[in-house]
Amino acid sequence: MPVDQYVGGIEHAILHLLYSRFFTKVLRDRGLLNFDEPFQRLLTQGMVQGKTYKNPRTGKYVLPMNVADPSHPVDPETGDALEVVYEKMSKSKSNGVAPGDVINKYGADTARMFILFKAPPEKDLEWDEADVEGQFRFLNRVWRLVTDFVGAGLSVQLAAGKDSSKNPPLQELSKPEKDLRRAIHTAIKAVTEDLQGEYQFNTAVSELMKLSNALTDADCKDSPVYVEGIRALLILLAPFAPHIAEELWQSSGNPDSIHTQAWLAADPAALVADEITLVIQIMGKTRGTVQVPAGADKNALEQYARESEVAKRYIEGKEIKKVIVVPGKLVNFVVG
Amino acid sequence: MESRYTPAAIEEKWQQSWAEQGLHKTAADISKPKFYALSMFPYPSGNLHMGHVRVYTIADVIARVRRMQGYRVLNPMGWDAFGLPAENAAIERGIHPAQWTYQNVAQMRQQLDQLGIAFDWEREVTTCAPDYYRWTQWIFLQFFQAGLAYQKEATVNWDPIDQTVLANEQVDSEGKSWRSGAKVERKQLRQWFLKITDYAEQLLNDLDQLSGWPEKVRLMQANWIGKSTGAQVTFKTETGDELIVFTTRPDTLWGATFMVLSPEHPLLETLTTKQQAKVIKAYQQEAAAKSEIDRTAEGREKTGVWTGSYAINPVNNEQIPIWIADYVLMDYGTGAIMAVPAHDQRDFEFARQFELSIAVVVQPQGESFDAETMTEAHPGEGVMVNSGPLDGIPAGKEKGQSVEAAVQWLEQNGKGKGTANYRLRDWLISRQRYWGAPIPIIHCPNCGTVPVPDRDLPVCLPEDVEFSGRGALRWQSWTPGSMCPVPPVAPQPSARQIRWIRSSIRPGTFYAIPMLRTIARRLILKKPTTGCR
Repeated sequence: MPVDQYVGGIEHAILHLLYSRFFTKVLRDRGLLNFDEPFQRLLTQGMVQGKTYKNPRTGKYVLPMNVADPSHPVDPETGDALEVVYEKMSKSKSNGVAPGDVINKYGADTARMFILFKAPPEKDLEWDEADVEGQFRFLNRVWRLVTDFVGAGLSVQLAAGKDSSKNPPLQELSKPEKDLRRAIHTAIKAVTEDLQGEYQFNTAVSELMKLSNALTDADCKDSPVYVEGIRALLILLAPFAPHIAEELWQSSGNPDSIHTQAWLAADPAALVADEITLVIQIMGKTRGTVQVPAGADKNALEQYARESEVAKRYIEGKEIKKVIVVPGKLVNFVVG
Repeated sequence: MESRYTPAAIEEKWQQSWAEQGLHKTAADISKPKFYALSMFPYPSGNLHMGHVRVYTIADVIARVRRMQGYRVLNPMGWDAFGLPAENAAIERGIHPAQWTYQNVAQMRQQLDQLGIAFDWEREVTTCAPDYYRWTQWIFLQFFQAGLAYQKEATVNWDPIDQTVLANEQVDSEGKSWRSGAKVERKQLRQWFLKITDYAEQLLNDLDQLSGWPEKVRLMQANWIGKSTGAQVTFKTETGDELIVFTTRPDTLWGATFMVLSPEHPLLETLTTKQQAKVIKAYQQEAAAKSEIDRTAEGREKTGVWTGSYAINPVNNEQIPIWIADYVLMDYGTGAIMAVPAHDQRDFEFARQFELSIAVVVQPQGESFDAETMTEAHPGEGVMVNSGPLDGIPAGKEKGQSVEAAVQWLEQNGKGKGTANYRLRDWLISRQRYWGAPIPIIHCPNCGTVPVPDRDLPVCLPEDVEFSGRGALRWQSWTPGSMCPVPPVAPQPSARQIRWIRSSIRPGTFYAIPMLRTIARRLILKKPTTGCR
């Protein structure tokens, strides 16, 4: 059967792939296979590059261990200021980072998260310790978030399936609950899309970070929506950082592995914003904004605009010659 | 639950738990849709680097998401384990390549597990394991039966001290062996090829199906295949032999004023006149010592020697001299070209160097080129002149232009035919080294090349390998009575047990192609036995 997704380096773009295609066609012609091409989709990942010190005058590399002060790198032999460049990791430049060292210091999940977050998969990736730490801090935040959640005794609800993912009573939700639920389902939709098509792992990780922030800032930590949010965060995180996701999942009282859970589907109803931001303009110039119900028609929008504090300040005592309403976007007052 | 996030406290624990639960095994439930995720197999160097971490992490995320989305995911791992580095490492360390390889595999498997990659290790393949290369050999036999595997003389880098073939990378810039320091010779050896050129057109056309591939990769493949269209034209020699050339510009045939053959051309024996025999021979030896890159480099001074013979230009019956020059390669095209100096820069330089005649057949409008005074070739546009039936037709490859008219005229007059040529060449799979899959062909003194019967696969590598002081691995030539005289090379005990795939690889159900490193070993039969009548 053909490979659905093949992943590998661009250095094998010609011969290996050509030979594989050739093999497939010959075996097909021998009646042994029933398809034409071995690899339906191909992803060629970019290089991993390490921080490299180079003397711009001599063109020579200086090994990192010989650089005394990394914030002001100088050549220990000539005293020249060194240039910092990113080049393919190699022994001769001593700019490599050993996977084992990173795993020992930060763990495999952080290494994975950093690699996925730092660059789109087909682009070159610059190894940057500060960004590795950034991902470690993010996982620490997730850890605290879920630890607090378990500490508050809410994990019982998660384990019992008492969250707002099933039969969500949308109309009864408070505004903070609705906002959080929208953030949850926006993340589900975005991460799912990023893992289809073009494989944008980097933006998927950003979405996870956004969801984590939304949960941290939520004003409804005792709500079933919050329980749904924790559950969604862990499930969406599972393919990226499988260990921490599993640990937090099972310590929340779930007996089965998180990796056997079904992927999440975004609820279209949750994505609908019930308020929009209406821009108020006076003579074509933006003077402010106002929150209005999303379903308001043209007349209602004009009414909301007229009554807004922003508009009042500018139109009071003046003759309104014309009002231009762009539904869903803005109201513009032309005054005399 | 720990209050602090301590990866070391949880990662190994879950890795063990997942392995015990068999979480990463390929699901047996065939009602689910399948998803086959594959990462390119690494060479088992023993150490995982960041490039590996990146590729396996990417593939792992995709595999894990698809599994959660309800697919029956196959995410196997394998090792591209044959090849020179293992052999060289073995020589340096004085251990068997198998031992070195399996140690590295065990080490790298552990490193991958540390990353939490969800491989189904029950489907692991190692290309140097007899259970795997049995299928490499089986596939070779499929090619052989289809007439797509054949033997041909080809030029190799030969180290006269180590008595071995060297890869191009093992020859330094001065043409010396990296190991022995000997001056490397170019030698003709009989080697096995797979006939990929038969599939050139399909491999090119089917790139259109690959919408899920990066455009860049498809373009690289198309360029490598390198299709050009033109015509095949037959030139007769004075001796009655036929020289076939391929040209993308058959319209310029009337301007062909000499021919150039590769120094390795087989007809040279009959074409070379007595007077020229000595210089031809000397030139051939010189060319044999040069690399292909040196021979075809642009801008270098043209060298060549006249064979003493002539051919007849089939379109105007003119006698044109036959030369040899090293820039013509035997294994590209037909190993012979027609030279049109007025309109090809390389031919022009050659003609000026050796004072050969030049005939203008494309005249640009508003100018008047003259063979005597021109200082460089004119490969551009114009109108056909001095070309009999083509005169007056605009020169070019488009519809209604000279190339189309020329092909038509050649076919009508039985002088040639329209055809395509490809840059792609047949795939040389022989390596005169130890660490690779033996080619399952018996070279029988009585009946020639005989394929090993399927039931006798795998043909195993011999174990009685000697490490010579020079470094090359040497071994006794062996006489396979039952085709597999030695037990499979056993993996050395390592931290984890080596698992073998036995029944998983069945064409049609599981299908993976390694970066094939097939090594030709001649099975020398003293007495014909199995499979040899």
